[in-house]
Amino acid sequence: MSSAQQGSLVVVGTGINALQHCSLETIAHIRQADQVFALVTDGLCLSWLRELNPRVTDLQPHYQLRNAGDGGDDLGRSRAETYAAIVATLVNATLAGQHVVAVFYGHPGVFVNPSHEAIQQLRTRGYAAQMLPGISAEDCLFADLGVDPCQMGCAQYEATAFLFYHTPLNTAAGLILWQLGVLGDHTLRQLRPVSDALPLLVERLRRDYPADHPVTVYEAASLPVGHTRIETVALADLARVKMSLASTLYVPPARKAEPDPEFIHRLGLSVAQATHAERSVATTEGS
Amino acid sequence: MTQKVLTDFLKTLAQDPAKKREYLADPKKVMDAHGVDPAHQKMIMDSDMDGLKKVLGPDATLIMAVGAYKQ
Repeated sequence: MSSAQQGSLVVVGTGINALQHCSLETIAHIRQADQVFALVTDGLCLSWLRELNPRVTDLQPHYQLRNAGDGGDDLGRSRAETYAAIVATLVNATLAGQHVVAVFYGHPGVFVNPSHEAIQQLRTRGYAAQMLPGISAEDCLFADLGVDPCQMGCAQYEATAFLFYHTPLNTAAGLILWQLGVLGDHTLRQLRPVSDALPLLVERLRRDYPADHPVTVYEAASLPVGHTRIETVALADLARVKMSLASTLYVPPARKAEPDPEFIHRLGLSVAQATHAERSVATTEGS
Repeated sequence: MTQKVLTDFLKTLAQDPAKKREYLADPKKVMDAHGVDPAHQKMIMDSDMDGLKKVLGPDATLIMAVGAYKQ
């Protein structure tokens, strides 16, 4: 197949509030695509995408969503199968010679499995496949909570993975835990936290943080008339907070970082010089 | 028809910061001027985002990744 006939894949993100967060480059790719596949959160975004390009296919049916009637939803099949089906859809359309754009909610490479997998498979076969950055929930969190992750660092984990693995924490840095809405669900077939998972998460965090440490449940606004959810409670009370699929937990630092005299001295500095310089840099330089 | 009005209204708010400021100052006045259905206005004023999303289209899920524990 000549390069003129060869398909390509561009993976883009709508941002969290799609009509406000899409980059100009992303919009241009959507407009020019032979085929657009979209996994977005609401009909408003889908209708806007169809204004940009009428050749939009909604990937949502791959989830086989069905209401469980007990405060959450179930899925007709495992999310792992859903993600594999999405990858196959993107890869096959590209192999068929189309210029494909895959649109995902938020940043297309942050907490999105099928985007990375489709790009990897196509590159292995010699096809052009790239990802463009988008605005993630993390970006919204930093803006809405006034948190600068570069101050003393910020770690982040998928909440269930955090529970399932030994994860040493640096309590002088911030901590973000994602996907609380499916906390503890190893089946990948339900869209709600496993009962008792939240108390277990609190118990795990209590190993490193005091019971009265403030933690914030955060949800970015996804509609122009929506409100950002910022609900701060003591860690001990977290298990009583209702979570949704959009819920993220932010845990602020619980202590000041301790300077490391060995490396400071090896750079020819005193601790006072080093820590003062660090503060100056952190408060005067943007990025 | 009422769904299209709602969709157009939300698109306007998303892409016109001056209109968004007007809306934030007096939501009902701006929604009335745009012809937003009273039932949809109530959803907006009640922050019923789930209800609004149902009006805008089919249910969607936000979960697009499996944690490292399954990979």
